[in-house]
Amino acid sequence: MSFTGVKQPEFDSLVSRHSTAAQQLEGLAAALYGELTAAGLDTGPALRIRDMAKEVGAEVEDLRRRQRLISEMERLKVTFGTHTPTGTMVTVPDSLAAAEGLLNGTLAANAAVAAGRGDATALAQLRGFAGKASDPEFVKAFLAKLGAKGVTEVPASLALQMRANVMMRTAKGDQVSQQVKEAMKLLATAVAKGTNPKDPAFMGEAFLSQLVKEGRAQHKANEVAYVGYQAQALIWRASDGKPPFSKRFMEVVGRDAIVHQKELSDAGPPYANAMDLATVLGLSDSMQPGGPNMGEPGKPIKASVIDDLSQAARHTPEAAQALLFHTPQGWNKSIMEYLLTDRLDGFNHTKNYAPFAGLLQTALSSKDEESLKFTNDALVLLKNELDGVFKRGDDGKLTIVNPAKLERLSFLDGPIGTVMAAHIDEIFSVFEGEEPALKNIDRAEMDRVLTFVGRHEGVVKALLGAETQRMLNKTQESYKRADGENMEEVLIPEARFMGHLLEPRRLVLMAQAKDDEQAKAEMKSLFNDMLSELTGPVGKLATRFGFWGDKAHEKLTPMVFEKLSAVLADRLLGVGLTTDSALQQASNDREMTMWMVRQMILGTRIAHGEWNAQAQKDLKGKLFATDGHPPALKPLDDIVNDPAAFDQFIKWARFHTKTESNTQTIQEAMDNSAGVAVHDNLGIDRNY
Amino acid sequence: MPDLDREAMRAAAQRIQKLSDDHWWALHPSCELMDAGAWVGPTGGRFGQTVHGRERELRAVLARAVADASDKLAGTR
Repeated sequence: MSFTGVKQPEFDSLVSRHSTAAQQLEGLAAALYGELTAAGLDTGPALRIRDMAKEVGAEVEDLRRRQRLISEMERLKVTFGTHTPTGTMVTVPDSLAAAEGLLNGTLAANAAVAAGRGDATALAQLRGFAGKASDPEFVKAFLAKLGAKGVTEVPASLALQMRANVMMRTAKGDQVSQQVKEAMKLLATAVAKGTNPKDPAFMGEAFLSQLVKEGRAQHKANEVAYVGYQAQALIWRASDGKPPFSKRFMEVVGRDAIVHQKELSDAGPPYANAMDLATVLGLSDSMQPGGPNMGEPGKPIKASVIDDLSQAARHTPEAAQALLFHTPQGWNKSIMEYLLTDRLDGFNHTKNYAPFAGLLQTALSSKDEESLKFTNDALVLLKNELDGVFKRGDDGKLTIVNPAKLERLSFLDGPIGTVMAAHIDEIFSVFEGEEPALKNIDRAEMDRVLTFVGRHEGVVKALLGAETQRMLNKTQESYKRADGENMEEVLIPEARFMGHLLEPRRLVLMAQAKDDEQAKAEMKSLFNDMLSELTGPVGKLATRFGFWGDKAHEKLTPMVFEKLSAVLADRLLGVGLTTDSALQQASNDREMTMWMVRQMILGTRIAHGEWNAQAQKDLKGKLFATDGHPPALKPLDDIVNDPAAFDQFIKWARFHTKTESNTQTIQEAMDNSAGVAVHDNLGIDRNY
Repeated sequence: MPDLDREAMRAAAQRIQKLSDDHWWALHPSCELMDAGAWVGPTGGRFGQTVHGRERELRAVLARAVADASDKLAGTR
């Protein structure tokens, strides 16, 4: 890169001479204007010179700003003059913004180091730099000044400062704690950007290697000895994903931190150097960032290095997958498998589950092949671990025979269940597909896994919601391809699958010593909740088909069939939820499912159109029909947007649609799968 | 339009000429310092061009004002 900067004393002279020129031109413009006017001459030249004076004045302002920056940079030794025979060359970034970034980044780094030494003013000053972290020049200067060593040691020294203040339990302690948290957030932003090759603030590969070197090294602050990753972890835990840590960071630093943690635990006592420095120092709560809740509710937070790394990696699929979907050199399993097996107890040790749960969910929920492959791995690992947990009790019912084993795996029900909902098609294929998309896991084993995740209410809702959307798609396909003639054929496998999603939840509730009526009531309320989440302005149907809030648009462009049938299903389900309908009278979750299926069929049938002669005749005089001879349906968009017409329309459509009769076989399929297949797979009595 | 007599016009033309002479070099120090490498780099380079261009324009504008005045003087009886 060629030299950019200024030469002294020429630059200082330039500022003063240019300033003089601005004044002279201003005077000249005024004098010349007077002369030209008096002599009756064109004043154009004077006016032009007045503009020039203004332009030069603006340049002087700019030069002065640069001059001030340069002298500030020299004072802080951000830049040095090099003496040459022709003058002193001072290197300065070309743009003012870059020069300011460089200066501020250096100031912030100096303040961070001073704050770590106990300088309260410097700690307070750091807050002022929070807004600058979006500037790549700032980040580069900040990280360059700190270096990987500083990035590692500043969190440790800040943590020690905080401990000293927290122990005083004063208002000042709270203030310091707040300031340290903000400083950690600044570091998290800077390190995330500086280690991302796609960010203009990227510091280069060497910086990543230095973070690894410092992460593995022994450090000491006051009398506290620690390995670098325990301190870097405080930066990771402060990440809220804005900006996220990059794929490259996880490839280099993230993977190494896990390999290093394993080396330490293989060589030393359990959990040697495994906790982050805040936990070691007993101030984990005070360093709790504003992001997602960590730790066990109501207990002091414990966080391991791996918990914190999970927190940093959980925000994007790229980063999450780079960390988990990799087998380090010399290992015989992937990092994901290691964490789910050998290292699993570490998560129960801190009970700080949210970061790793989020990490698993992010990594496994995308649609790509890798994600599916590792989801498959995770499910196989889980079904193996679940072996011998659920059994037939003496009463013939589902019993938990190994509570300790279940407890150990317990926290995985949320993340794994959510991932299963994201891969609903593949889970379905295990039960119904000719070629299951998931290997090494059979139906009985999948029922075992579904029973495990069935302990988590939110997961069951997610699974049911995902399957409901599948059912709507199948209904739509049936009308598109076969005018609805093959509806039973298409929906029977879906209903059987629904049985595998509903029944384990009910069995789990019964196993928790709930009686039949309690379990039934809970299942009904769960189904209601699922439908509420599915429908309405923020419901999944609306989000998926994007139909709420664009009514004006729809008037111009008729809705496509899929969207229209989803709108109708959404309305029909929504009406059922709020009024005293068959839904509320349904005696159990399976009847509710059937009610839902009928609404979806009706909605899709209506969207499909094509009514028989009798139906056409009945249109006369209806709010939703035209006045023509013969009358015709108004555009469906209009009907949907007029509540009175819609109500009348649904009554008419229901009358002319045969759905009640042909859903009987569908219900039988679901009953059989829930009451017989699931029970057989779990080895328990049928139909209890 | 004020109608100056010949003497008054001559005096005016001389004053305009003097304004031009006095400010002919107003931007020259900036130009010279830039030529001497006071500020180097893309932004500095653009600034140097601007300053040189402005010096040329200033001189052209001053020359025009002087020429306007001497034309008017020649036409005054």
